[in-house]
Amino acid sequence: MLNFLEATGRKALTAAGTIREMAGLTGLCGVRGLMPSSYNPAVRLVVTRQIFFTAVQILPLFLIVALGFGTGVVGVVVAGILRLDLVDQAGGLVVNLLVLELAPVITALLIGLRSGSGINAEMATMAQTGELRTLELFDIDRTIYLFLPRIIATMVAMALLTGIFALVVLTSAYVFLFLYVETGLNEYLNTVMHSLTGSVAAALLAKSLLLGFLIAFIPLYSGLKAPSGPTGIPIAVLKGMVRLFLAIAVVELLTLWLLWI
Amino acid sequence: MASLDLELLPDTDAIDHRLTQLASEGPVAPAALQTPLLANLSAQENLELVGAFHSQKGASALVARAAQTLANLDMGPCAARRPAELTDREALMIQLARAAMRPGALAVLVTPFTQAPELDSDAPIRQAITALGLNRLCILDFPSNRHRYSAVSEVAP
Repeated sequence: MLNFLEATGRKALTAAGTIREMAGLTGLCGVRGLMPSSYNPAVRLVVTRQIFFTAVQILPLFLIVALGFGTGVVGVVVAGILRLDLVDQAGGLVVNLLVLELAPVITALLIGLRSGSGINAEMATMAQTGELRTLELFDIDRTIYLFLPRIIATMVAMALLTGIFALVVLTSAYVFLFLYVETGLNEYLNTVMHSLTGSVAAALLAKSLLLGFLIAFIPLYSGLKAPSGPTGIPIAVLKGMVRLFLAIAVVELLTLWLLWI
Repeated sequence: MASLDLELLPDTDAIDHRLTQLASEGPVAPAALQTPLLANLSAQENLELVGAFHSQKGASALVARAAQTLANLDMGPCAARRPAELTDREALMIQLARAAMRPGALAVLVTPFTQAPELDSDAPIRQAITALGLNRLCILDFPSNRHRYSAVSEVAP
């Protein structure tokens, strides 16, 4: 029992230390992000490339998933709407369930699995090969060169792709409603616009940006903390991906709690 | 004439320690196995990276300066290549060029004959140093390589 308590306490202290360190690094990123001098040509190049890797290269896969998965879920939601005779509130349900909840989470999972793991492995490799020492000895600020551009690019990519996902599910929902109950486009758009208030749009944007930040930040942090040795990279990626999944789940639960309870 | 100081140290740990010590004394620009080129950047981008953080130049001026630095070493054809596509000797020269992109820093060349085993004398290194206009250079190497150096002043670490 004592051993169990000791082990639990040790893990809690380690977790608290990690969270404190992450919070400090987040603050440092914020400060560096506000300094115009941080955006030198090398940083701008990384931002551009990271947006390409995160938001453009993923587009074919993303559109297939958005159309396939999004349409499938939309079909289930529309069937529920019809069964409960809630056609007049269809727009609102689609906005709240699919746009505000589903779109950011699916987008976050896709970007996290693809770019998040890539960033994590890249950082862990840099730690293993000595490239981080190169940056240190050349007095190149890691926060500015590694963290800032990847975080900015991932936040931008996350907001853009969430918007695309939302458009796909809104269109799919209309097609379903039109096919089943011949809902008029104007009627549908009216209910959607009625539900898509400024605060809902702001919540969607804030959620996307927060998830985008976490998708870049957690893998960056985990990669830099990769243990040395041949198993360092897989361990760092494993830890980073688990942390990222937990963070996405926490954000989702928090937004559900804030918006619905 | 550039000052070339050679420090002979017994092993890798001592060299690592000395490199860290030099970095704590002032700005350094190492060309060492311990400080590889960044693998996801091309040779020229590695130079531009250092320039971006140690000058106030715009993007086009940085590109021009990096390209000129490579051209001074006749390494223009390597500009677009990633480190994995460079030979050991080319990688060493690009590291020296990178060191030249940090003005005012002490360039530290670490075990050049280990980095590029095909080198049998320091002549190519001296040529590169002259072409790059490196004024302050410290070489850290093992005593077993002493005979490969000419025209350097050996100093105690």
